[in-house]
Amino acid sequence: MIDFALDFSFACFGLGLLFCLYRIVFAPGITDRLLALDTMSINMIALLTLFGMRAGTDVYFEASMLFAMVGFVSTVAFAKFILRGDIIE
Amino acid sequence: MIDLSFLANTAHSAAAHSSEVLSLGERFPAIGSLAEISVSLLLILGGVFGIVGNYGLLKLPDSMTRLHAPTMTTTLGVGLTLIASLVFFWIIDGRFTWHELIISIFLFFTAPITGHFIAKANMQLTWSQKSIPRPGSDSDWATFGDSAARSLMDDGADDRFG
Repeated sequence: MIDFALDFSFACFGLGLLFCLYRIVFAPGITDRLLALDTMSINMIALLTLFGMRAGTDVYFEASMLFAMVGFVSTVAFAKFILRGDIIE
Repeated sequence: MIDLSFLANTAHSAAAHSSEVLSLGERFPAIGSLAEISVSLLLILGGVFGIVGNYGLLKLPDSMTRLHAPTMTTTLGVGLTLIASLVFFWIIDGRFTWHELIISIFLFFTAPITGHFIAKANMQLTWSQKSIPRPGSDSDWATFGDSAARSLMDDGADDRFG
């Protein structure tokens, strides 16, 4: 039963990743691209967690923790660059 | 010479110990099947919330309204998936990990900051300074005011080549 639920959840988050990719390619503005990139990193966190459940190891939590941190820092740095033209002032 | 053999002994005994201990779901089959049902339910709910949030990124008309949609993916979709993983590793797989709680707390803290920054950037790029209400008599919004005009570290190098 967990295998079917895992498959369903994999499909949902994978399709969500494709939606984000569509929004990155066909976006009206740069902030939409930034939001779609941030959502992509969040989908990757969910996918890595699901992959760790399927593999039965907790090694992938470090990877998803790194994705959370790097995704947050890169999104904030990109938004700061859009705002001020400079990241560290 | 420091005797480090006690480390090896404890590590060895811990490994032997953990291989003998059954998980909670293996000791009590009722709890195991209940955990299996709840993990599947949490996974399916998390997937549905994730796909709805990501579809909102395509569906919503405005870039300010599009900020709302992935919030659901962050909090409910990933949160329910992490709770499912916590229950799965604790009850079915037989070891308790704190990683999921750390990741979800980190996401709960950082999602509003990210949303705030993206909204601020969006405001500065698309909204006109004249069309929004004034914050006070002698001040301006942070994205348009004096603090945004010039950085202390900027020595004008960009203007020299402009």
